[in-house]
Amino acid sequence: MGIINLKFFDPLTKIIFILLFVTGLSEVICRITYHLHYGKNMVYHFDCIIESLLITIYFIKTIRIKNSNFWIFFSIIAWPILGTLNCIFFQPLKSLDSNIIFLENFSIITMSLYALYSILLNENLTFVIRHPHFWFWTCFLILSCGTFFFWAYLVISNYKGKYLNFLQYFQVTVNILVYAVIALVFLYYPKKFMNES
Amino acid sequence: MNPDSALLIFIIGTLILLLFAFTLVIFLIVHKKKQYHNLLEKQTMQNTYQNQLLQSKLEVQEQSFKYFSEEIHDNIGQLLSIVKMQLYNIKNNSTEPEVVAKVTDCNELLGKAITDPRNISHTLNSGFVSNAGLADAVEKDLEYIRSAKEVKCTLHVTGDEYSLGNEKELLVFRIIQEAIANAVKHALPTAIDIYLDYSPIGLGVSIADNGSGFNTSQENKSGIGLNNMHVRSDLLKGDLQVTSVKDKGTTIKLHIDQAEPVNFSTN
Repeated sequence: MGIINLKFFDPLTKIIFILLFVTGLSEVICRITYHLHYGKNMVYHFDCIIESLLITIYFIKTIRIKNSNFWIFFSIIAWPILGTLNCIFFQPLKSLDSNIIFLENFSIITMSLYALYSILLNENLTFVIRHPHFWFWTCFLILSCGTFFFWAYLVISNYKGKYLNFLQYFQVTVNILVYAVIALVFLYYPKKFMNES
Repeated sequence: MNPDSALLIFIIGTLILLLFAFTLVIFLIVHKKKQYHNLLEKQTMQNTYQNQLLQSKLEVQEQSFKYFSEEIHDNIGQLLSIVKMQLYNIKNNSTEPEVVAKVTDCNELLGKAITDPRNISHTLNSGFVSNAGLADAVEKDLEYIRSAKEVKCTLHVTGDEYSLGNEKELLVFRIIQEAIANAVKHALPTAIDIYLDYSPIGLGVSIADNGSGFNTSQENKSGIGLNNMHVRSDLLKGDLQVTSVKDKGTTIKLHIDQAEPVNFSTN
């Protein structure tokens, strides 16, 4: 969907497109490493940092916070450092980097809430349902809220427990819903949406 | 912690967070919708106010026109008529051929001096448009232009004529007058064609000249005349389009719906 209307996207929507591309690519690499008996977790360590970085840049730019260049520079430094420290001291490459995922979800929820709050304050933006970034923020918020405790549960239950399968299905359902909404936004981007970044 | 008790925390936590997220998003959409309606209402009020302001401005203008028209007709016209009668008496009582010839010349000039202001007086008077009808009023105005300037003015009327109502016809007449005055003053054309196309859905007016034309991108800067036309067109809820080609001429097109009401008083 994104490729069809890529030329109509504003730069910030292109970040979302790159993010989804990176996510898709990491899933493919995960499959490959899984078949090569290296496991998936190693890929998630890198993917998570790149995703967090892209999402942070996206939010810094869409919310238009002051000193945005400083905050982008800060996140470019901070996320890899956090990932490396987590990898060295807490969760090595072979284990799932749930700490970083947890932190990523927490920061996404915070930034989404702030973004939605900024919409509330913006009197000029009244037709929110035709604002593509409103849907992206909503998708991020629902995705992170829906999966926030899933990662906590994984850590607490140590990947065991009789409801683990059910939880995985739940997470997949939330993912499908959210990505379907993003796909629709991409599909109707030039026709239904105003380009108000 | 027992995985099953952790599951309970997970379910409650997730549900609360999801509920919170959905509530927030729905609240935002509803709030913004309300804000949109308020903004729309505010804009409507502003437009109404603006419209009333324009109406008042044009009403004052029409009152001034009416006053000038009456002054020209009643004072200047009467005085000149008296002077003409006196000259006629002088001519009749005089035996000297030289005096008679000069008085006859004066009488002719005076006749023109009486006719021209009378024409102006008629075209300024809003009552004239309502009495004569739009097409006749335009024809009368063109007669005056023909006599005063060397411009070939032609009126083309198509369709079955009907009355748009006094207010509407006066506004259309003023737009045509403004367009002609602009053309004569700035474009120096040799011909002006006015088309009145009466159709069941509305009236189409076109004023085309073969003058010097102008740059329509600088239309807004070009003065009060065009602006007044747009104001009147807005009052008529009409569609006014100005097209101009340098050294080829200008065409002003106006379309108004017959059914569209207009609230503009000239009394």
